[in-house]
Amino acid sequence: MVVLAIPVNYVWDFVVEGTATAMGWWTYDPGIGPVLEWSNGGRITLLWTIGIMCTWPNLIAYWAGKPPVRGLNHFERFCRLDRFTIPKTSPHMSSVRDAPGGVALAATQAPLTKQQEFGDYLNHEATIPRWRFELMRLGAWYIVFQVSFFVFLILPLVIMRCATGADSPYIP
Amino acid sequence: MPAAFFLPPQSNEALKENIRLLAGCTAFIAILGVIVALTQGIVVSV
Repeated sequence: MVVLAIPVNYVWDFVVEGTATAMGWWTYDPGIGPVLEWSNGGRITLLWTIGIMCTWPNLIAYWAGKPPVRGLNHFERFCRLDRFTIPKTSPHMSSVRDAPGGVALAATQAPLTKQQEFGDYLNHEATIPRWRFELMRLGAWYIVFQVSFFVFLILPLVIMRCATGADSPYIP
Repeated sequence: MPAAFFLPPQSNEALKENIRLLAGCTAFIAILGVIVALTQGIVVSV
């Protein structure tokens, strides 16, 4: 976090929001915590919004998992989707091509669709219809995104807005 | 940090590490919140 998240967030925020507030495209009024005020009156916060953006996006990236993703990631395990899977027992398709005579076999084999290629790569199989499992995966991602976003971004923002008295007339 | 750290968990047992992770994130935001509350109103003009 100290090595990557905070420096990258600060650089990104100052390039994007720094430009926007300096050009008058938007501003933080009054802004939570210390602010930097440009000569045209535009304001950018120095600690709060950048600070909280150092946690949630990193959590999400970590939970999604770094490729190659062959099993269920954190989102899917949080929602117990492992109940609908079994470890894959059938041989890996690509290993057939590596077997003796595999070249001849591969020559006659129909090309795999993207979906087959993806399924072949996973280390588990769904015990329910695939479309239903994929829909549940989408739901799991949606729920974890929404809940974590609320807990780590919305809630701290609202608490700080009330605690610091930095209420904005633009936000009821 | 080993590359395996960033891979998806191999079992539900591995989810336990999230307790420390979430506690760390909450502590970070809480400490940041205190610093921000104490520095409220500071305006640096350029």
